Amino acid sequence: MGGFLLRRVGAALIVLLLASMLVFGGVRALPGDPALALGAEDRDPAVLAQIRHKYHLDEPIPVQYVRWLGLALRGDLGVDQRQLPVAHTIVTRIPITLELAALAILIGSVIGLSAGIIAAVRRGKASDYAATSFALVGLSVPHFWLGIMMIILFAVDWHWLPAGGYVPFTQDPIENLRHLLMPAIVLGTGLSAVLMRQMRSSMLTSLDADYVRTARAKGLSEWSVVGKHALRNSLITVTTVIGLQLGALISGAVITEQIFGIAGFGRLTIDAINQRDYTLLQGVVLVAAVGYVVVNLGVDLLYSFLNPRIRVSGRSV
Amino acid sequence: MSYVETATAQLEVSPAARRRRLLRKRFLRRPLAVTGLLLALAFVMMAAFAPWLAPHDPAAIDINALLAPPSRAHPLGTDAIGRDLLSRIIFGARASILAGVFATLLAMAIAVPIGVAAGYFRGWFDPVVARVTDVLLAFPFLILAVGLAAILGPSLLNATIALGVGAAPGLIRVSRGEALSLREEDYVRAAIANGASDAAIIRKHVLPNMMNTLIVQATVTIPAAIIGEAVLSFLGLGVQPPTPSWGVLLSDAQSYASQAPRLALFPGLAIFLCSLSFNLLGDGLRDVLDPRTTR
Amino acid sequence: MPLLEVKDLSVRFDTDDGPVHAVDRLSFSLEEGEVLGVVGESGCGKSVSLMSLTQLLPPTAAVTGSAQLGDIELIGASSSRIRRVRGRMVAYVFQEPMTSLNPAFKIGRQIEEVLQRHLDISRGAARKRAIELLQLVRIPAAERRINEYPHQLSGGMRQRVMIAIALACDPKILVADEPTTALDVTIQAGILDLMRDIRERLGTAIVLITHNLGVVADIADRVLVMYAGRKVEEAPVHDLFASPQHPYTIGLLGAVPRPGAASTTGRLQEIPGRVPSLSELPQACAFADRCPRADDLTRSQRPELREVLPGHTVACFHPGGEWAA
Repeated sequence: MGGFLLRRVGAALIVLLLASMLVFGGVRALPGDPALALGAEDRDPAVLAQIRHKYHLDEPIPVQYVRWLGLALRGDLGVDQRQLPVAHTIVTRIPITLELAALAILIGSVIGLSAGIIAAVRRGKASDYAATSFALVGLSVPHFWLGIMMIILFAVDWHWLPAGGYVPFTQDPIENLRHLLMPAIVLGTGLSAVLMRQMRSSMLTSLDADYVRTARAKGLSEWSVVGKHALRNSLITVTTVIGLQLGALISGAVITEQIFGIAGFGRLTIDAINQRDYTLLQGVVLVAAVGYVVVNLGVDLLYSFLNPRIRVSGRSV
Repeated sequence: MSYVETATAQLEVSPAARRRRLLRKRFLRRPLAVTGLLLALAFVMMAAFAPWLAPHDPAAIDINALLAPPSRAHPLGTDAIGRDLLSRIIFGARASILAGVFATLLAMAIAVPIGVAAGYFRGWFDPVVARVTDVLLAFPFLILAVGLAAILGPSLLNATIALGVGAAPGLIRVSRGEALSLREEDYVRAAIANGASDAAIIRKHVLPNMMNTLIVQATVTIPAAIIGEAVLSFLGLGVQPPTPSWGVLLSDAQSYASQAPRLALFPGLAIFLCSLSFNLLGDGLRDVLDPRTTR
Repeated sequence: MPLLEVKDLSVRFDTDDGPVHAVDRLSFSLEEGEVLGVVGESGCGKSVSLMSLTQLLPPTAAVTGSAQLGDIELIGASSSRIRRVRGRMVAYVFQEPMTSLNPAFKIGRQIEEVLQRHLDISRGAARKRAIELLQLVRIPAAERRINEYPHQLSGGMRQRVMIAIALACDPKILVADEPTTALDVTIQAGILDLMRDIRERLGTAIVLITHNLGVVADIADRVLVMYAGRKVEEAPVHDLFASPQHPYTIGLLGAVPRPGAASTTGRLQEIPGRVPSLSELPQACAFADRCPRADDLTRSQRPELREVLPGHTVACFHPGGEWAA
């Protein structure tokens, strides 16, 4: 198990390194002159040359990259257009998005997993069709449209929930949840649809398996057979799916925060692109990639832990 | 041709045709899949025949009807500058369908050769491809597409390219996986043992058996690309005004959300139905092509 | 009074392509401590009939008839009643040891589970009993093995674990469905040995389902031969092998290579043709298509079971003799 862990972490680090190069190169490839942006659009060549030198933009790209990476590893992501430290901005905004994502995962998982189990157990009956249709709709709905529609209905027309904005949990927990409820539902819809289908498919396979027949032959209650034997094996597959969906969740958060006016980490990405704030953008995308890789690594390890075949023999299946 | 060759050539025709007929039958037995197909075709038709279907020019301004509710002249009403909403939605289908379909085709064109080469030939190419796809997959599809679109500059073409390239890593992983497992199949090993060339094996054994998975993946990628185009346009990174796109329509509608919710409702509904139709089609195809499903 | 009395058991599957009559009016009885071999080729209904006793078939199966276990009527019993029978009075060992155990749980837990379900015992007592059971089925280092996962055991050992689970609550009947088919021949002998041991030590009645006549000759007391969902012959094991009555049985025995068997042509006997479709219940002998003795009578009427020798019944209009007559 130890060797397995090491290899996984090593692979993740390589991926991160390459990703950082991609981020750096990608941002450099954006149209527009970074010197212009940093110098508040002052087009005087002398000033521009000065700015270029100050921000090391006149050095060869690989050198710039190494410099940037070195600083980043020490937690310094530079300053953005308004001279605010990027790392600080990111750190203050991440908890907001994390809370949103956590709520979305909670809502998505609860709805999706239970719907999937019910659909599998009651296969072919009305509840199966209802759940499957619900999942299909959830998959096809563009979630930013859903967000807008929900705002119109619940905030503008009925005044049940606020149309946007954010209130920190520590300040007022109820308001915090009220503000995040719609965004979390919007974000969680896609996840619940994917999970429902995956869970249903997984459960159907498990319920068909020989060991379920053995469990029944032992005289166990249907509850035990489905809830313990079949479910345990399905959860293992579903865990990986949740991990894979996190990427979609991150990109979804970007739009959702935009629509609901939440000043979170996702919103930062759009702002950075629109303002051509390269330093900020670099930092944001790097952190996002790091987060994603780390979470995937976590899911991988969780899967290894849950699947006895890997846990005990230490090799991948 | 020798006797053996003509005989085998004849044998090869009938099973394929028979199989196609069987698949068609199975497909027609599924009302949801058929609905998906018809709906998807309807959208494609809408995009193709937009100039004949739309009651007005999508850019035409009717000064007398600013933000007007639905009427005979404007079945879905007008937007803030007096443009007919229905016409804009009909023309908007063009951007979505074009982007959806061509982005998917592009992604396939990139992904399948790379994936098959990596999975089948292995060697030094495979680990490189595997690592690179891992890195690319570290970025969610939309983030990659947004980034690429930002680099390339806003336009429908660039958005399509960005979506296609963004969708490619996932498809590379799938086709590589398929090629890897198909390579170990007994009939492939037999063909190698009989001296068949790699090109022939890929052409006759690997690609045809991957077809099913690829078709299903395509029908899943198209709706993702359609929504992706809408997102890009919504963010201003795709279609530029005055060309209508459902995403742009939604973005414009935000400011008038309380006064005229239909400005957001109908374009979004269009995206939803278009995406749904391809998802239904994709689901149906997956069921039909899977030998394990019984009907 | 027999332990299990089955009368006119019929199982019909309602499939998309029409009904399939997997079992057609099967009757037999099982005495305490007896080993009954149920023989027939794949698809003849042997597994289906035995699984229907404790309602282990999918919901598309329609089961009619009667199966009396002591004073409990199994067919049509309520789910709670059947669940009390399963594992406690009638236990199963299935064919595929590789997939019959849950890969996510340790084997100790899978044994203790059935103990705690049916018996009122503590965790500690269940654990002790589980170890005893593993020792009973001759798994070495039982205290260590009990904490292992199924994938750490070989096929033969997994089958032994299945047997341990089946025997946990000391059932009256153990149904072993092709227990050795998926295993190597050498392991096979060990499993059969174990079953013989179990019958002697615990007095459990065993129903051994198999298509392998050699296995039957090894440990069965009585044999029941099935064909196309019907019972065609039943006899004490020695009688069956010494003087088979039904042409199908005769054909089967002729197809088994045996050293020193008197054979006129030196070739193994083949039974031509194929098993008939089970979609209809023809009014004829099911074996008529392949039988060398078929005539107008056997093609128009269904033969009923008759006792032609003491304790030896057969469903045939022209029983006895050699293959051709």
